[in-house]
Amino acid sequence: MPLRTDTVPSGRIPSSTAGRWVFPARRQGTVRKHIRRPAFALLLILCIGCSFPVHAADGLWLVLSRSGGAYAEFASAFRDEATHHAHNVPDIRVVPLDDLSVELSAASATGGPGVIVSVGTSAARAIAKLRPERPVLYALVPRSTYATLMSQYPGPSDNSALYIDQPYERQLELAKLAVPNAKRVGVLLGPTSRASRTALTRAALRSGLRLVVHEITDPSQLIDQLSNLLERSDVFLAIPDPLVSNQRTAPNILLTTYRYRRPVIAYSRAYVRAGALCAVYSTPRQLGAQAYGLAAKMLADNPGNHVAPQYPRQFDIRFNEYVARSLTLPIPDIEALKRRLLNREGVKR
Amino acid sequence: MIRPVTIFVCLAGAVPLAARGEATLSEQDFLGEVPVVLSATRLAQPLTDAPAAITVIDREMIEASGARDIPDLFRLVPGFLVGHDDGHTAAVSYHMLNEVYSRRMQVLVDGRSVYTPSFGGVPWSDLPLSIDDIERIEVIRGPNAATYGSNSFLGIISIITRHPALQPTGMLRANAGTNDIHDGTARYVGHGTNLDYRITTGYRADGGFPSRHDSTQARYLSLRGDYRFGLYDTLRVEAGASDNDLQEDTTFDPTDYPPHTKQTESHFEQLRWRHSVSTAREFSVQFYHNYHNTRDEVLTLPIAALGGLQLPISYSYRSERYDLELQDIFSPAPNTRLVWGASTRRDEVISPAYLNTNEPIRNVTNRIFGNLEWRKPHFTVNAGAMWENNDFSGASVSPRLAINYHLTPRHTVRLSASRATRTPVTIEDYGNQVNAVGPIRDVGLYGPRNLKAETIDSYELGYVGQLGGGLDIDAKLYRDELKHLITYETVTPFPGDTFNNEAPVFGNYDQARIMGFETGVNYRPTPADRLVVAYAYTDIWSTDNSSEVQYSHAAPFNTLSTLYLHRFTGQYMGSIAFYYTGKMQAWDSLSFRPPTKRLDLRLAKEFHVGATHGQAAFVVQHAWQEDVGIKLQNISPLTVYASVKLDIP
Repeated sequence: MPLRTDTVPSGRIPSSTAGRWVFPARRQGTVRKHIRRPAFALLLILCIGCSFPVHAADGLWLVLSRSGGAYAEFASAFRDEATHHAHNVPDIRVVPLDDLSVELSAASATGGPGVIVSVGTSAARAIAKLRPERPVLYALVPRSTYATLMSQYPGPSDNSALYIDQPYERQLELAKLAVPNAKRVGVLLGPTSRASRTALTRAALRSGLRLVVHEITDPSQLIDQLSNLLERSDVFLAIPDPLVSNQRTAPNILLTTYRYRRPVIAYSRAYVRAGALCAVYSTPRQLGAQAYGLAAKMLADNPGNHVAPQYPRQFDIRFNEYVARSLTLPIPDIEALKRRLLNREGVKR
Repeated sequence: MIRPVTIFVCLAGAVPLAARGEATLSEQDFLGEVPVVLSATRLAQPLTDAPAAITVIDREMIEASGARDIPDLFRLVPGFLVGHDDGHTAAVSYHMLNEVYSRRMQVLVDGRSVYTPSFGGVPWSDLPLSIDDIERIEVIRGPNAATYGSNSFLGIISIITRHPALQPTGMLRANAGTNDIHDGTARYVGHGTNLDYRITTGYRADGGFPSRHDSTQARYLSLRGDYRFGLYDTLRVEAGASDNDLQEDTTFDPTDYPPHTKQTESHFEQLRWRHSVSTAREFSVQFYHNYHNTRDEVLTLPIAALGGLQLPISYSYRSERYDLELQDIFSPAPNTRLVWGASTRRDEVISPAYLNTNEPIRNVTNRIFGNLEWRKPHFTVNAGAMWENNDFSGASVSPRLAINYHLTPRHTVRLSASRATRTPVTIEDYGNQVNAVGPIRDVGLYGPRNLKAETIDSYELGYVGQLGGGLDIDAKLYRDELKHLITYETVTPFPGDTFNNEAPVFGNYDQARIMGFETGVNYRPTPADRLVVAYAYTDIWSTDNSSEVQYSHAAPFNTLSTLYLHRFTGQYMGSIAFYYTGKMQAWDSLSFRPPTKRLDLRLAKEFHVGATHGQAAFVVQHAWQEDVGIKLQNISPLTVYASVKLDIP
């Protein structure tokens, strides 16, 4: 049976959308205990009325890849950020991924959302396939995945993205500060990440580090190529790649780098907990807040005024104290380190 | 019967083939969990925080040394002495070596204690372990029972094998050379998503010392599987077996021990489950079983005192060890780390020949241990203790305290005091070797069953310098006080002996004090050069009450070893190892072993055949002069061997 992704799955009846007014529902909950006087009830009705999509084309749809977890965190930060701009809060609706196509066709009559924000890769893929006639902000997606989707499903040019990846400059700067004596940064690229070779080389040039790059095409080459690479480098920069660096290969990367006593600069908190020296990463909360700003900008901007894909602006840094000690590396003051990274980026901007 | 190999292959088949990455990344690659592999025990404590002097013998040193046998590697460690009873019986000790069973060292292979409960010491040639599977050897110079367990008396050797995930699929090695050197090793490694395993099998043979009847034919098989389940749990399974034919003779009167061949068989099984939620926290359970059996039956030469009678005599013995250990590592407060645990061990020795009973002699040892590490920017304190109770010598406590003061991040001074005990081994406490012909009983060894544990109190002032420019130095000044040292003394009259009314009887006869200085240098001026130097000055004072075994000259005043290696262009690597050992007491004579100089040379060339990575090496040992062993009759002539190793990806 062919997979049907652009129509309602058979047997599934699109449920009423009324129950999914997440934003008003929240407000109801907090206000209910105060309903004592009819005037209050009236106010309440007015409030709810205000948040209905009177101007539907101005609303924001949040399409989450999954409910709960990182996606819920993202959505909650997104909304919190919106309420900070209380004078002109656009309507924010969370649309379940499964109901997206139905909702879109239903909404097309009334104008639908002004901007769709996809959260995560599954949502991004589903939306890219649907090619909605709305600007889409692809958030919480890896840069390479966004690029792949855009080439597979070319859509209107007013799409944008907020990558989950950190800019290479930031990672290299961290490598420099975390391993003061490092001069050569080793990078292992795979079929996906090899596209960033030029960008990496340029970033390394700017940071004054020498980049040593090896490429692999098959997972069986990992240990061998990594060993070769580590003999020629002082620090290893983990670049996410579906073949080279992911949850499955991380254990072998950590075992090998530790054997050569080379620190790993990673891209996730879990990587640090598992044995990388440090990582710079952005939390779903940080990304949610930034995504709101971008979405609002896309909503407000005139058509044709393109908002370029962005890297996370806010980030966290984490060090593994035990790994640092074992490699006899200093454990820097994280806040000072963050300030230094931000300052340098500020200067360059 | 399902053989372990079959189980491994089945397990390997059950997991998917090498993980193929999905086409695209997802946010889960950034937000998802990563299995914790660098657990607390895998992360080496930095030398600047360690409560003792530590020397690490790494893979590069192992290769460059040209050593075929593991014991030879310890010549590179400050204060270490290596001797041979014969070509296949090596003894490795620290600060003193006055007998063929080096009973005062803890030796661990992947956390498994391998000194034998029968005679003590380590049957090095019987270990089912390929030198090619060793990742590194950590040598702790000084007592440290709180961390390494019973018998961590003079020092600890901790051998760590390489994780199979890091080994190529296939490896073949062959060595051939003078003195009948014939070694072969083959290794197969399987890599899966959650399981990595290896099977190594090998053969080692040489002619021993030319003047002795002591050739080695060793065959072994070893397995290791690392299985990861969930994000935080790993199960490591190791097993191995060896089956050796070893020629024997004696440097003393050959009547009782004429030239012959003995057989040894050994095997072990080891399981370790580790639960590690981060590099800071780890809980593990380990169980292992060691089995060692020596079949050594001889027909004596005609005994004049018995009218030219030839007697069958047995020197056979069998020992087993079962050990279960729990260990928990966590951080109770910022900048502190607590390691604590408990273990129970059962050692069992059966030897009608040496114990004069068909029943096994058992010794159950229970222990509780803990170590608290407290770090501040300028100092680190390690305070630990082990409480132990065993059937032979009762309860004892081994405490240890070390303060490491970091003058600067590059210079650390360490002050430490530690106590450790050594429980008598079965032969010392229960030995009863009797050769009887009719009414005539000749007692060859006797253990009085009331021996106390030996104790050592060790005090040291250490220095660790990471001076930059690739230069690392460690140095220590120390004083060891040893009490209740167990040796044997010929006791006469000995009523149980109706042959000559005398018998060698074990007892806590001696005390000793060792003072000295030692230093190790590791210098990498360029990526192509490395120099490793070890120097030790050792001065032993002892009561020497026993006339049979003495301590005063059980170590030379001076030992020096240097290893220099250089990588040439064209994938060549050359290395020179030089070892100097000063005058010391010989084992087989009342005289001294003269100062010896040993020079080993190695030249290796790497090459590629397709994807296969090869290395050919040529090694010359004892190039300076014939090497006189601590047993003066053990003379090593110039030895040359060639080696080819292939790593198949």
